[in-house]
Amino acid sequence: MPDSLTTRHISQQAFLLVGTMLVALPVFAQQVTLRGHITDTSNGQPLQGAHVVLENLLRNVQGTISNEAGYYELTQIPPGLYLFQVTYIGYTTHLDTLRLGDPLDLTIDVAMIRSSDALDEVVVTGEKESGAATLKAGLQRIRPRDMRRIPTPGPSGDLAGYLQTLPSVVSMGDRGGQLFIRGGTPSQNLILIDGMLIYQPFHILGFFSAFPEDLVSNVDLYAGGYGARYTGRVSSVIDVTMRGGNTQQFEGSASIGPFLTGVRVEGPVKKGSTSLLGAMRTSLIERTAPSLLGQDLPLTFSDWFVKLQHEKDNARCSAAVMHTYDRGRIDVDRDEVFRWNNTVVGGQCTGFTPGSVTLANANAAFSYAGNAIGAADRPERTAHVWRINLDVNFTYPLNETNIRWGTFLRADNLAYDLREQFQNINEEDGVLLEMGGYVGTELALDDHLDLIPSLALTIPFDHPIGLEPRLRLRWLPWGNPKQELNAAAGIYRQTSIGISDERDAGSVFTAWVSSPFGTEPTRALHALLGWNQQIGPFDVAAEGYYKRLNNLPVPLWSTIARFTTSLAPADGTVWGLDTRLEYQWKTLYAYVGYGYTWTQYTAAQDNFGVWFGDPVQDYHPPHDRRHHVNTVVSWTWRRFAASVRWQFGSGLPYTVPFGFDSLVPLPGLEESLQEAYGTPRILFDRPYEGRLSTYHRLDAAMEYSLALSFAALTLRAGVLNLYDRSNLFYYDVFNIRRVDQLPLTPYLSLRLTTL
Amino acid sequence: MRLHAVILPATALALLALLGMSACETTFDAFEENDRYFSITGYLDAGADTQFIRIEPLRDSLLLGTIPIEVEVTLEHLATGVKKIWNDSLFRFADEVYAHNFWSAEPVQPRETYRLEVRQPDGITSTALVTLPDTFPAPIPPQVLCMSLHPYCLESWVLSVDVKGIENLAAATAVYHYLDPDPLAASKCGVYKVPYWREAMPTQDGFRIRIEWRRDLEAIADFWTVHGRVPFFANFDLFVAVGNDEWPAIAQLDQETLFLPDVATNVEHGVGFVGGVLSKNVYVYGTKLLCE
Repeated sequence: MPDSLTTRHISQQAFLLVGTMLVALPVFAQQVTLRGHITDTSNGQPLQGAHVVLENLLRNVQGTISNEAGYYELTQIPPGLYLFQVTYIGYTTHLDTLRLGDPLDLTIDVAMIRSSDALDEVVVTGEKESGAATLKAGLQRIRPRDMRRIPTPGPSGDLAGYLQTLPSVVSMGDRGGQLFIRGGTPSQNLILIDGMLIYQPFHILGFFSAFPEDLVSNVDLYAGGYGARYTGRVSSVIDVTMRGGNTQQFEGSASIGPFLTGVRVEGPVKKGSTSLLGAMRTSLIERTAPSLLGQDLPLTFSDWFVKLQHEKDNARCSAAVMHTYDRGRIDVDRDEVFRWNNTVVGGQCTGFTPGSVTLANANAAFSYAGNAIGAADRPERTAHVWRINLDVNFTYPLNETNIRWGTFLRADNLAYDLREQFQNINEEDGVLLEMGGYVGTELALDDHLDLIPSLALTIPFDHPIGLEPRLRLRWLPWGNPKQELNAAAGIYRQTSIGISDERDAGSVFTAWVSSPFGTEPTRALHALLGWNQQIGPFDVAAEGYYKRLNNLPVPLWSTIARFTTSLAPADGTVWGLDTRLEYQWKTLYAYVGYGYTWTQYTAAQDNFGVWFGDPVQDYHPPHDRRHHVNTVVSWTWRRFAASVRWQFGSGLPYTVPFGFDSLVPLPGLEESLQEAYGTPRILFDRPYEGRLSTYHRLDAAMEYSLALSFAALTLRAGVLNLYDRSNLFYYDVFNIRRVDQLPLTPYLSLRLTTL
Repeated sequence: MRLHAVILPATALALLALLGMSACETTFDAFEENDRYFSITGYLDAGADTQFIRIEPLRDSLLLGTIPIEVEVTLEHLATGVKKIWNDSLFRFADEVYAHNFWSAEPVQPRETYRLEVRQPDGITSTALVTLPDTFPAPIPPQVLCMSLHPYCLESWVLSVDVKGIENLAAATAVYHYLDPDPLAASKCGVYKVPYWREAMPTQDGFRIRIEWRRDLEAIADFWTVHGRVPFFANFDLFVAVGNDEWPAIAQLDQETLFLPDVATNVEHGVGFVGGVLSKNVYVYGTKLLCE
């Protein structure tokens, strides 16, 4: 088929798709629609997960839960008299009586009032809105208080520290900022900040990310099985919603500790509607490590974030900028300096026009990431990637369901100079265009079964068109959320992929490239099945999962100890079990998580055929941590809070060497033994057949809050690696040298927050 | 009893138990225990007056340096049971880059089988069994009247030499000797070798080697001409060797495959390859230099 015809065909399809999706569905609801935002009256922040209930005189109940913007919507309400109730943990219940019928479209915003003693009184019933055991078909909602429970060596909790307590998540160690979720690699994770893509937000020191507790409003973590709204990644989604500034009054905080220091200021630009929030942090550990740890830790990172948010009537709009910077040597004794930075700029609006029942959301964003490795002033390899993304999303309530659809347009620029690290991709600078859309619905078949089917259509300009059907399911066999079964399945594609050299555990350099194997993108199939059970103060979640990954670029395996290699395609299979037990009684919280993951790559390489007799070999990649245990206990008493965390991980795979020598090639007798030393050779066994030693560590922290006349002072003292275990980070086989993770590390952080 | 009344003490006990794990052994040995002890590389040449074999312990680091080796290396003629002990010599290739080449001036014979044994005092042993190829008639090169880049030399630019009576060609190298025009050169005699074994064409009873001597002389002139002083080409030999039955398989492997420890090897309890060849040096043209 001629190129022009192909292009025209694609363009026609794209036009039809966009046209179809942009045409709003007709308004034919003759019954009442009630909607609005639920916010915190003290700072104007949206409250996600608030329960909104309407009850009529016949005790018929209709309810919903507010979303991440605090937005709720109830439709198809027969006119009449209702009791209107909004509840949220820690807030006084809002009660009102409503006579619905005129107008048919009614907006009621509710500002909730904090209840100082509400936490002690509340008995959690019904659905929990967040927590480790709220895992539902791969989805877990994470709130700032979840992060706060994790002992982190900073003045507050952090998303990076929290994620590493989850059975689904494997990190290679306490530096590098690489997170592997259910067998997927870091570049297969879609990380969004207020709807904008961010490439590498996890800092080089693994406890920290660009998402500290005091800036985050909500995180939706999909370890798999996500719906069609999310496209372009094959493993997981980390969808972070940052909070806006205080719309009522100015406030700020300053913090300092041995690991980092930071400031945050926020306040109303226009009281009650427009706010500005700015925060900046920078690390100190490079300077404090010699005295704190007795060793160098040449790691530096910083980030800053600004968000302007405006909220009025039926719409909430925000604009945000984030920048992060990381630099450091993962191995102190090696000259390689890794550097990466992210810049994200964009804005979004969510709202609805009066008279319409369609909720609309629009996002525009520019995302950039730069990567370099080499000497500080002369990087050997560099990679840059930027994306411009425009997307619009609609939610249309229809009878008992919602219909969701949207469309997007993306332009990716991928530029890299890899200096022949990978022979089949050296240097490139090009733009990839992709457009597409999705449609989905939420079908409540009866009181027991919810189905969420969705379908994504992606139209890349240099890859085949892709259809990605997905399904999420929730079944309440006894009609209440104390026992529920969740399942999900779907097909996923990724046309641009981050590649790194998995042969070197100490390398975090990532280059984003278009699929290196022609037009075949990386593909995945997910299937998940889980059960949630609530027994008194205990919440139990158990979920099994399966992922099939195709066309993964992996470095060509070679027994020659050399930097240069080629990329070869591999297929991956991931099986796993994710179990979690949570206990909460008043302010005592305990959590135990166990994860079992089995990840295997299947690759066809000529070398395998020569050595092992079969060119197709199976092996477990370096992130195949088989067993993963986490326990967290936290307790708050008056002004004190204490938390401990213990982590255990079984050993990661590595390729076992059995010796070194030099090889003088004999064919042709071209080199004589008297004249030539030969080529140094490392003698490897089969790839990744060995296992590094197990890993375990205990961290503890205690916090004390002191009310001063002008501010609140919070002291956080803690210890990392309390029993000073020598946990292996990686082993340098060339120099017979182990590189360990952090030893016993005490810290004391102070945070001053204006009242 | 409330559940939390159980959980708190249980948690405390668990943490104490975990603290006790601080004494856990955390040593880690990345290397695999195995029964490969030595790397043995080289070949026995029935046409050479001295045999060399590279023998190294499988070192546990790429850091180059002198690796002590305390072994006895013997070559046993299987037909007679006669065993000869070889000599050790440490070769230095660069700063901190050394290798042990064991050698023996004891001749080895065509068609005979030998067993090379490397034995440590504690009994650890690696061995290689080598059968040498049969002898072959010395190739007769065509008569060459001149071999020069001057225009008056009207010889064909390509010289064909037939090596007859062999099945496995192990080596075919054109060896050019010249006088280095650089007055600062350490040695006035220069040697330029060009391998031709890859291009050798099989014939009914051997191989035909086509030597592009003019191209080679141009390369010598291009590379070694100093300040307009052209190197003086003196003579030209052809080094040919026939390999034993294992040779074709080794010769066809690419470098990637050659590096695989279990592929190109005939060493028991070790890695590497010990080949068997018979080489001949064939005079083709020129006058021998005094400094050769």
